[in-house]
Amino acid sequence: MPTPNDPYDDIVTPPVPDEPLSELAAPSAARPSELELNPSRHNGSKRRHAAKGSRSAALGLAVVSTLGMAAYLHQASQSSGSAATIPSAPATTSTKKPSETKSMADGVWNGDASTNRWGLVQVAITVSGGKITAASAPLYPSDDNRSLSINRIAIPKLVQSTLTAQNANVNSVSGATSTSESYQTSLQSAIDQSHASS
Amino acid sequence: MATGIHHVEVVMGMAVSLDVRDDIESSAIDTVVAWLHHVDATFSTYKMESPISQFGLGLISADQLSEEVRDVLTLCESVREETSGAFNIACVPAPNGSTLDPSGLVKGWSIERAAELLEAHGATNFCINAGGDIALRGNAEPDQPWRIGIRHPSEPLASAAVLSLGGRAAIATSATYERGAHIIDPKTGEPTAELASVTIVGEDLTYVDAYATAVFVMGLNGAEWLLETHPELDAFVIGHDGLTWETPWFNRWRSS
Repeated sequence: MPTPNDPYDDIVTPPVPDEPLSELAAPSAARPSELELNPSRHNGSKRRHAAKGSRSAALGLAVVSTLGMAAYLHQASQSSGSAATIPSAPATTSTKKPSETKSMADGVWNGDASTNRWGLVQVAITVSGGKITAASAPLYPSDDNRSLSINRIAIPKLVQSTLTAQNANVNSVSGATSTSESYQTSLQSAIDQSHASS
Repeated sequence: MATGIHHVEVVMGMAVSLDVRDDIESSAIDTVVAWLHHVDATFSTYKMESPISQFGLGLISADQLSEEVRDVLTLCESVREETSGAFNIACVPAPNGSTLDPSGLVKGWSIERAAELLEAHGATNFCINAGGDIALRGNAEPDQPWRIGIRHPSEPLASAAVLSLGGRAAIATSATYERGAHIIDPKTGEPTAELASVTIVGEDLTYVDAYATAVFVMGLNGAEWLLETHPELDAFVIGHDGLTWETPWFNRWRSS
């Protein structure tokens, strides 16, 4: 891979797929505490949710690691549908750090589909000017669709959306105000009353 | 369902709502309320006699400060350094006439301590909302996490997002909703206006609150800074143009 300054340079160590979860050392971008930041939804099932956090993190790692396998990427035929291009090479291919002298060729590249414990993960990258400019995940375990944006994990970027307004019932409101005490007092008391009468 | 205790205390210039869902002794609430008034008396920049005012005005020296005050000032300094000055307690004239105002960190810090006090009294399911910044534990109902709305910037009674938070969580939003309200950029001394609001989700309200302020000052670049330096935190940012930005894993907190 590319230049010594390449941001992915230090996370090019793909995990062996059936390696225990705890062995998936966090890459530089993910601190151990990330695994702990997963407030459990139910007191009685804290472990389950903690596991979900680890699972998300591990999935992210798998993607990042797959991305690191740039040396093994196959150029996708964009017209024939890249998601179908799952190489027959075993996903467990042992990988070594790609040569520093190789530069990345422009184009859209599909990574080998890699199996982690929750399913197949495949990453496609777009290279332009020798640098990764976009990444997506044609294949990833479907039940994580809602909670993860894989392509954003491969290249961490903010996810942009359009502001919407919801009027759902809530227990409490963040940002009720930074300045107006009366507003806050009123809103909070309304919330408290709604609970008292429910 | 446990009856629990609801208490709203107006202190530190804001309403602090204590919503405890466990049956605990009411003395637990008294302890928290006393703590909040102690914090107000110690750190208020509206009270000329508070140690922070006295120190800010040069009437007492650093070695006359309690360990508690020095700890808070040290925390403030570490956050200032980390945010390259976007969070800075010594830039804008405080109400007492000094240029030392740690309120931006004291609020989150004191609420996090309040949460610890409730825990020490046996509470395991509660939500403390201090002027829109929240520290919570456990669940709202058995098997039902807390539903926390993020205020919509232009529709005060609507939420821009509804989150489902349980266990240990903290959420803080920095915003300027009302006309005339402003957050000052310490570097320019001018109000910042790039974003409508910044919400940070994490575990410790001390930092979550301070980072929300810092990211608000830094603008969208601040959200990217947070993403790089604090991947354990999540951010939800609302612009004035009706666009929002969120960190990649923020979506996991959304209520279904």
